[in-house]
Amino acid sequence: MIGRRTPASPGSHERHDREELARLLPPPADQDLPYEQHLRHKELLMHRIDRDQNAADSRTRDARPARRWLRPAVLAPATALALACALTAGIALSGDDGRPADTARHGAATDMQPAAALLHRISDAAQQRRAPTVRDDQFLYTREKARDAELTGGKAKIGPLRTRESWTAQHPGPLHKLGLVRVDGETLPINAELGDTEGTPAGINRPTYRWLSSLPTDPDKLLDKLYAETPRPEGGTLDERERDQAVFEQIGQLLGGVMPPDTGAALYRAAAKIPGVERAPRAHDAVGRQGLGIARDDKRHGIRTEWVFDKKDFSFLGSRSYLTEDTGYGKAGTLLSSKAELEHAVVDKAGRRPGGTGERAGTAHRS
Amino acid sequence: MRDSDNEVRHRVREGNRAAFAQLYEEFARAVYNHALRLTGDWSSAEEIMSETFLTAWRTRARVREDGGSLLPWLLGIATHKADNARRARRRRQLFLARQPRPRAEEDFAPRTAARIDDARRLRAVQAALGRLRRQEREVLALCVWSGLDYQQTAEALDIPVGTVRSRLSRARKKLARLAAEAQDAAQETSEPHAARGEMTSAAALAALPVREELT
Repeated sequence: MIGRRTPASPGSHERHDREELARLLPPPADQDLPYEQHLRHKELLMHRIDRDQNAADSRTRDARPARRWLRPAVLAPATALALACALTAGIALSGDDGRPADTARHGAATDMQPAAALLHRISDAAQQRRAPTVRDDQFLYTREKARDAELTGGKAKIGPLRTRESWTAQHPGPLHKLGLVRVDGETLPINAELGDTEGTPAGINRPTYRWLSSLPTDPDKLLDKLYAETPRPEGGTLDERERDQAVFEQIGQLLGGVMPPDTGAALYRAAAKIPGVERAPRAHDAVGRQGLGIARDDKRHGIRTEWVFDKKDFSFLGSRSYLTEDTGYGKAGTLLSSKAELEHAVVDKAGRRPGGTGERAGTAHRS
Repeated sequence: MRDSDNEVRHRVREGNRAAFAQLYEEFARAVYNHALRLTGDWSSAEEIMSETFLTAWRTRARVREDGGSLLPWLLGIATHKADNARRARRRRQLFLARQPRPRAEEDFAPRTAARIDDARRLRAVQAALGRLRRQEREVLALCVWSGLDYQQTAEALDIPVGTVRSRLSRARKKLARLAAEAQDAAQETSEPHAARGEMTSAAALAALPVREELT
């Protein structure tokens, strides 16, 4: 289309504006992939085209590409590596690693470590909550306040506190549209996870209510499943201590939504079995609500992740993570992310806020 | 040119294999670079590029019969995916923080010094974009760096041309202000050997101290 504007179009004006902008910006960093890599992606495309065309109407379903977990943070340089690593994600870790019995995964459930004791109380409270009815055609609404640090510049730079509303589809899928998210008055679709050309099914990266209900409610079995399914950083080392942290954080990501009571209860008891989980005094969430804290330190990278619970009803209020040591990203104490859960509900339509009768029911159900 | 564009569109809609091969040959690099500027991450960019063409194949029926080049369509898909990648990345912020810091260089350590320059340039791009809102970033990347005109940018993002204009003008004001601030800051702190106005805006931006994201 360049070069075929109608004579009346503001072509020169436009060019002038663009040139001025270009001056304000760094040069565009034009790069390219090595030839072999291009060839590989092109072949992938051609292969897909051939497959689809051969399959014409009697579509064979077997060729769904192996799931590639996207963790750009720790991406290996090549996609092939990513694929290879995704395959290792099914390997469960060996259980006990010789740490003291009171903190080891399979330690006695009755040990009264302060953190475990608190998590058990939280678990009991979660178990008592009423289970909402969630249909596959409905959406889970979440309103939260959150801020995150941008790390791409090399230094952690914390962003402003923003209100974020989301509506997540409950259909098991695979779906291409996973729901809607509204931040700063801007509403955008949530698209399938990158790599899911055929759509993203319900699962650990898209935890629907039904999927959560399907998890084992025995804490040991649940923990085994979480160790097996928590996405693994591609190219990352299989250090067990990092794995403990990854699973702890994975549980944190599942919390803070509408949660089946049995699953919620089991998740907290599972968390109590992860080595290194401790109580966090003076824990608070993104909006400053103080509460009962549970935390785990990633000593290797100097990052602490805290969960905060309401002092009275033990509901999940929010979470926070920050540097505990001076690192390249910033000084000890630098905030990396924090959020506060404000509202949860089950609604019939994406984009609709709770409030209509029948939708209120699920409101304020916290995990 | 226009006839052949329409011809290409027609073949793409039909699911012609050779047309897609040609589309890849012609635009893979542009898509890759667009993704790279938006994400600042080589491996994300590579994956986004690959996925963009697969999505293009899957959604080929949505291509309109006439119009110009298919580049805006592809860049639109890539923009979408880049946003998802950024979002996924924010969700996994903690993983990111665990990467050794000079990540970009390290990944490519065996490569040439040119790669390090690439990394530096990429970081400058990210630093500038990081100070804008997502909508402004996308419009800028498409319009200024990928060379789409306003109409094509509108097409890529599925928004009215007027919106492209207003986003660009907001971005320009913001960038100009940031550049001016950075210049002032630089003059306060460093030797005034660089005469006022001499420091390029881009360099000024990169030198801007870390501060709350401006929106």
